[in-house]
Amino acid sequence: MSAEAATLSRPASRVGVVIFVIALIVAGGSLYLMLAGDLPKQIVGLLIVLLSIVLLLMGIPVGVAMLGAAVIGLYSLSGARVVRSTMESVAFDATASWSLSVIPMFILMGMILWKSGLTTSAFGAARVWLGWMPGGLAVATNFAGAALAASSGSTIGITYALGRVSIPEMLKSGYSPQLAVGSVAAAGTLGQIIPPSLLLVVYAGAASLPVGQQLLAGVIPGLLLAFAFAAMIVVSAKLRPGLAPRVDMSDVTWGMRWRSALDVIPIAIVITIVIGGLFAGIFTATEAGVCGMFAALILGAIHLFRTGGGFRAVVRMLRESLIGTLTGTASVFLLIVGVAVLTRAMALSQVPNFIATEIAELGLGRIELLFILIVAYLILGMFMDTLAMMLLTIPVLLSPLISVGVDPLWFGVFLVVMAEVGLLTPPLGILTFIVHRIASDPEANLGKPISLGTVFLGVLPFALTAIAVVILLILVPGIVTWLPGASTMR
Amino acid sequence: MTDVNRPADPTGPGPTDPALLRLVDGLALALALIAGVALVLLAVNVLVDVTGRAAMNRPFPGTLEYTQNWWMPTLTLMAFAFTEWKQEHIKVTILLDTLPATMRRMVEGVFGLIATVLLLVLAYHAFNEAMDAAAFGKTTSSSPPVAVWPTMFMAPAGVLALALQTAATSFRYFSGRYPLPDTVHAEGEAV
Amino acid sequence: QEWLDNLEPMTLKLADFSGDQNANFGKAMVAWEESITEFTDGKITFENYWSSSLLGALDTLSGVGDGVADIGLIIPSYMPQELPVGSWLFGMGAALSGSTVHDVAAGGAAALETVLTFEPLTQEYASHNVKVLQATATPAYNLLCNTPISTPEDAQGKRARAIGAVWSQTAEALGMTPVSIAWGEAYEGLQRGVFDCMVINPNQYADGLVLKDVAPEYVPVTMAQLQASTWVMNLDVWNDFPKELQDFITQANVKAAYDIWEGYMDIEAKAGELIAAGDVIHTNDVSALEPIAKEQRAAYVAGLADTAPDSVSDPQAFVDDYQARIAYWTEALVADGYEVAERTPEAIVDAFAGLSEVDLSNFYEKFNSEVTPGLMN
Ligand code: NA
Ligand code: NA
Repeated sequence: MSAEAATLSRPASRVGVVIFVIALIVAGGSLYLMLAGDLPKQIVGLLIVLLSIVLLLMGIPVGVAMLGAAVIGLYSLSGARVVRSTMESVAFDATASWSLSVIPMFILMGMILWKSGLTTSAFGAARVWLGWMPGGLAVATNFAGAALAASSGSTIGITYALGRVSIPEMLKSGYSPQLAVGSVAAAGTLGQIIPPSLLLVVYAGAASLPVGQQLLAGVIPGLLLAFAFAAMIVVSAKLRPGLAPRVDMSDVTWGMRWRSALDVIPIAIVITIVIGGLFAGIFTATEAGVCGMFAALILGAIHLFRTGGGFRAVVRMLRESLIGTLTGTASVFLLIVGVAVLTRAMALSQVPNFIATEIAELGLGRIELLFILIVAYLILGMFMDTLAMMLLTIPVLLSPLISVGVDPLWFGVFLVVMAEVGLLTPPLGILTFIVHRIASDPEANLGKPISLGTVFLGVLPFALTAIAVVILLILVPGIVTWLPGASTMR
Repeated sequence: MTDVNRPADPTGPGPTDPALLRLVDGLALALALIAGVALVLLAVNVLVDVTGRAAMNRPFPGTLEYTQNWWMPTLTLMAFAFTEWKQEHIKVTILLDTLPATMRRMVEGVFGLIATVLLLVLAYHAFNEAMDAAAFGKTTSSSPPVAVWPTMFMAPAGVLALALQTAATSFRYFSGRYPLPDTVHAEGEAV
Repeated sequence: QEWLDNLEPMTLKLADFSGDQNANFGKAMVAWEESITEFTDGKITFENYWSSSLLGALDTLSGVGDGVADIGLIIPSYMPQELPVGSWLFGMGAALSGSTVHDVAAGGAAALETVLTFEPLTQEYASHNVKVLQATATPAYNLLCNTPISTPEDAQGKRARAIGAVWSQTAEALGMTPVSIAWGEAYEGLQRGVFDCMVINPNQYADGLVLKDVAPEYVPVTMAQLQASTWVMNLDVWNDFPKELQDFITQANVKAAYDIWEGYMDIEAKAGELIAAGDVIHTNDVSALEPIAKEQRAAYVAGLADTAPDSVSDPQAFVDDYQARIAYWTEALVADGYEVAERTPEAIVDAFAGLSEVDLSNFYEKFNSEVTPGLMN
């Protein structure tokens, strides 16, 4: 464990008490102002954010904290009837979703791969093959994320499937918790950028663009991002070997390598089924989660029988996987319920439109405008649902952007990358919360708790890398538009 | 089912817990079993649909609607309380970890009760909505229609059970059962 | 101008789940808003929430009734129990010709006067605390496919994405297998062959999903139109308006419907250009399929009276009257020189080519003079 992480999370108790008291005062003040004052909407929007941050620091489920703050905000903005209307429908509506069904299925797939021991042997293979590479296991995790992204658009599902499996394996190999959790969260963000991607489809719909070209536009930036993350891992592991200790390769023979390569085959089959079935037109991206899960189940059961576990081991694996999937899914969806109410309150506060309108009226040139938008989306992404953030700002920004020469296809990719970065940024980076939740399981963190601060620190370099890639896309827009352009020429 | 029966309470199972607390925990477990059934049915339903469509050109009618309106709400909402019992909901303890132990117990206990009140209000409104939907027999607009109103009761039931469980969490803090030894350990052992 | 002096300044929230200010609905509603803002000297302004950013297709009705938004778009058939009469009426979408001008203008006019005057329907909306502003009808739906289909043998066993009874029954009559695929997965599903055809308006070649590359086989068999896309306003807000303002809005509503009709002509013309050019899109000859679909639709309309909700007292008379109104407005278009096009590939392409020239202003004048005065207080 690194020294700075240790000092960071061990502040004196007195500081904690002082912060706690300040937080209570902030909460009380926000509450009073929202209930008593006749404030401009945008101010109410800011107070909602403040209150939800304070509430979530109090140890109640984050989804409930968001719900509480948002309900007060909705009352202040639109009155009791809107609060009632929202509370009547939100719990059912937020969970009743076809496209989100990929989340439990990907979680279950990850649990089965993990509990059956398939991933442990695959990581054994990754150690002997990639041990020479600085941060090799994190790089492997990153590209596994890219492969899953090619089969699904679910950022949360991918993060869960990967995190369950690779965080413990990386920690076992002596990786720093920061790198372990950071690489998992970053790999998850590839989910919506590499097609299939519901966000890109929705953007294309909202911006009246051809869906096919919009999806193609995501391919190269998605791959670029995956390689940038990999490069970042290698470079930082090289500069700070403590992050990811090199495996002692002296007694690794080619015979061991080839034998271990067999251990990767089951996982390779699962990924091949998922991607192959999708491209062969057998199932859709949402259905891919179920098919991948069944493939994992069959191969995991075979593996358990072959390693002498027998029928009882299969039953135990299945039971533990189902229980882990239920608690994992429930924790994510309580969060989704809270985000749904918070998003409605933020939409009615007009904060996103306000920010977008102010920026659009600055009359900036292309580069300046886009740089300001990076900042704006980072801020909005701190406390808003990705999809709503996009939908609320696209109508305001699209025509000013086109008038300064921004290709709408390009902007879709920019927006999705920024939205995914927003999932990582504090104070309300929901992907960060989810990774922290995965890493809080004693079985995942090998009994050494990983703090939320560590997770935020861990994702920070990846978020910065993603922003660097976005800046590259601004400077060389052809990276995005080349592939869809090339496809229309034929 | 050793894993499920493992008490979240470190002071041991049964004897030291009041009957009411055991009832609330039992409810969480019972609902989680329903959620588990829905999880399995989701997977089987989609698999039957995909294989039927791809192999025999006979999709399972209503798969999208069943998944969306039956399996998903059931498997998520029915597991809310169980997840709280296992202390696996997404929570941020970064500030609480720095508080003295007694103060932390009070803070978590009090805010747990605030969460309980909020969730009770949510359950109440969700219940009203489900009753309305039941009164007119709400279905999907698909062909054939799929009844939606029965599973709408998953929302009030799941949220109510979660409210009871957050109250139980508060009780565990106030009575000194929480924080668990390993989280106390986390407080001492910097990470 | 006493009413205007007494009018409280307010900002009304409009929620359109279907698109943004550049879409057909969005453009018409923004013009509608501007006319109201101007009429009230800027006292009434609007905030727009496009593309489901505040309310989705399924929660707009309760959302507008409860004041989450003040104005919203409803597709009644999505809510069969909340809007039984509206959903039942939706079946009248099967009583169409397949000719774009006539389905949009004549079918649209019949739908518009019905939603504004048919008491069981206006009461049904009022029970959800909303007031109907206007409704329009889409052009006919067709099949956009990734494989050529021109005979019943071709159609046999093909998977068609068809949501709802009106369309899935026609698809089944043609021998196809209806499948449910989420809208967000439809493009890639067609691209990769998860399914073969989509029941949708051909404007999706140029707009929306832009299916020209993945479903270039145009199978113009006539399937029901979306009969009434209905715009509603919170009833309390409406009732608080003075009579002068209500009458102005009623007039503006009819104008908005007319703008939407014209907008459909433009959108269909864009798709028509692609279809007529024939280099990307291949129009299939549906002369063997069209009679099957026509017969099925006629049977569907004939059976409608049996499935009417109780609040419709004489459903057969209503169905007959509705069809008579479609015929009446169709004649008005014929009198303006717009003949109903046949469903041969040549006639279809010709009809598309003429859409950009269509001028519905006479038709609008006729509707305005005959129907609008009766809508005023
Ligand atoms: Na993806
Ligand atoms: Na964020």
